[in-house]
Order: sequence, then C-alpha cells, then structure tokens
Amino acid sequence: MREETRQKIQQYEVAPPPSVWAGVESALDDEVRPLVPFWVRYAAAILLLAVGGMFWYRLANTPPVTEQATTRLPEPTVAIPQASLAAAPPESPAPLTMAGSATTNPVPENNTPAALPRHAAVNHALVSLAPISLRNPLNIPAAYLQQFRQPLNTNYFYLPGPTGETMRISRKLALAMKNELNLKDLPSPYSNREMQQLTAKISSWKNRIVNSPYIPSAENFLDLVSLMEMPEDK
Amino acid sequence: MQAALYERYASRMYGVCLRYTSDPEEAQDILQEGFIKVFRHLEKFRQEGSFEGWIRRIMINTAIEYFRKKKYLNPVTEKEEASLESTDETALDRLAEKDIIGLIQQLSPGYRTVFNLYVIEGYGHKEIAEMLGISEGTSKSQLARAKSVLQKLVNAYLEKRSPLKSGS
Repeated sequence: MREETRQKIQQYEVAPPPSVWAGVESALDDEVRPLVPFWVRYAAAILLLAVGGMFWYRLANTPPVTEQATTRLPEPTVAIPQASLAAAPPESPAPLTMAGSATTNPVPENNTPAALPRHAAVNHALVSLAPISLRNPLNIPAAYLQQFRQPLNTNYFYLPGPTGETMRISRKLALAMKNELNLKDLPSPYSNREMQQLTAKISSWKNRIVNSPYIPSAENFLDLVSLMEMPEDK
Repeated sequence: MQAALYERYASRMYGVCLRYTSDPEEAQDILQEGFIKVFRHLEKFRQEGSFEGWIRRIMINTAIEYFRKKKYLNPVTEKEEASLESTDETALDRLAEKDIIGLIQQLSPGYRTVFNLYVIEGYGHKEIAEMLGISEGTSKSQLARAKSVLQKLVNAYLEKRSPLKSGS
C-alpha cells in the first residue's frame, strides 16, 4: 500500500450521528453537576462542625458525678414552689450532721416537728415533687430504658435530676421504683419479693424524711434514700 | 470548549472507529466512550505530540478494550490459516478509501485490529503485541494472514466490480 493511500485511509472522515454527542454530553453532565450544589455542601459541613462543637462543649462542661456527690448532701438550694412554702414561716434551719456519712443542714435538737413547719413543708414538697419531677419534663422513663439497655455502670443508673444535674441512683432502687414511673414491664433481675420489700422500704423512708428535721436537696434525694439503706442493712 | 473539540475531531475519529469494527453502532459506542475519556483526562495531555494523535490513541485503545470485553480478539481459525496466500499490496491503491474501509471491515476482529495498527496507524509489532497482550510472533503471523484474507476480498471485489464497469 502506498503512503498516499495509507494517509487517505487515516484521514477518512464520516460525520457521526448527533446521538453520539448527546451521549457524551449526558455522561459528562452527570459527572460535572453534583447532585447537591457546592454551597449546600459547605453549609452542611459548617452546620455539622457547629453542632459537633456545641455537643463537645456541653460534654466538656458537664460536671462529673463523683463519689462525693452521693455521700454528701449539698446546701439545700433547690427551688421549692412558692405554693409549698406559703404555709411555712421564714425560719432558716441550722446545719445538722446526719447519721452515717452524709451531712446536711443541722437543726437544733430541741426542735419538734411542730416547731419545724418549714422543714416539714420542704420535705413534704420534696417527696411529693420527686415523682413528678422524675416524670415530667425530664422523661426519666426514657433514661431508665436507655440505661437498662446500655448500662453505664453495673451498680447505678445515672439520671437527669429535677434541676438538670446528673443524679445517681442505685440500680436495685431504680428498678424498685419502676412502678412509680409506669415502667412495670421493665424486666428486673431481682425477685418480686425483693422488689416488694424494697418498695415498702422506699415508702417508709419517704415517711421518715417527711417527718425528719433534715432538708435533703432535690439533687440528692434519691441518693439519700440509697444511703439510708446502708446503715439499716448494718 | 468540549463541543468545539468534538466538532473538530468527531468525524475523523468516527472514521477511525469504523475501521476497527464492522458495525456502525459499535463504532458509535466506541466513539462516545472515547470522547468521554478524552474530556475526563484532558489535563493529562502533554504537549509532546499532536493533540489529534493523542485523541486517536485513546480511540484505538477504547476500541481494543471494547473488543476485549466482547471477546472478539480471538485466535485465528484453522480455515483462515489454510487460506494464507501471497498478496499484491498495490491492489488496495486502486480502490477509493471508502471501499478499502468497507473491505477492512469484513476482516475478523483480530485480523482487522492488527492490520489497522500496523498498516494504517504505523505501530511496530512490539507495540502491537503489548497493546493486544499477544506475542510479537503472533502479531506478525496475524498480519500476514490479515493481508492474505484482505487480498482475497480485494480480488473478489474487483472481479465483482469489473462486469459492472464493462456493462456500463
């Protein structure tokens, strides 16, 4: 074959049908044009970073639940509804050391329940508030369920307290209170008899708290109940 | 820019694709796939050779891949081997390029590819062997057989055309 013929064949041209360019254009369009505009992707990335940052910040600033928090009762700074305190005279109790390792605000020994209407009112308020604050608006049952499925600790449940703080409660006690929280179906490793005994104890503790001169804080109310079990067991 | 490039080279590249296949639809598939590759890898073009040569190489490689996928590049059959005979290479010079391409298209894919690569594109047997994944010896023997088969096709074509000429 002559070079001239070879070149003619090499330079041979035929117009392709328009469908070829349409196919090329379509394939390139799919690659070039992203499904989501670039600014949406940037915005989404920034939003994610912001949310992640806020989450991290909140985690970093959440006070850890320490052993001390469960063994000591802090100052009774809980906000008591005005309605509960309305009947109580403006008397400020003096601190008093509680039996066991817990400390709280002492009250003069010569005070009688009749002479401590404020304490009684406060304790009544706390006991009556506790189940309410546990139910609403903190969604305690959900926290119960979550910690039952994924325990953070084998001995304790960690729950949000009435004023947003972390509250620790013994696992056994938490399960004993499941009826109060409308979680009757939550399975328990403890026997019914054990649970019934503990439920009865909780009732008696509540009565004792109500009639005692001590003002437990709302944060540690359930811890106090838990602690009281220790000297009783001994 | 892409449309302009396509406009400039599409017809010539379609001519290339038609030489490597006997089916116009296959040629269009190869052309489309080839141009998609060209535009995807445009930044990889180095200014060392001609741009047209670069596009042509992409089209040829796309055609080879296409036939490899379809398993068209099979070894020569016994029947075709037996038909090996001497060739008159000047016979093709007497034909128009369109007729030559029509005859090339009648070759089997294996013969057609080696013939195109060696005779039309100007590749050596070593390069062809690398491109097709065969030995140099196979490339040489395939080319010889391709030429032989093409000679027969040319002769048949000329014989067929002669009575028409004499009758016109």
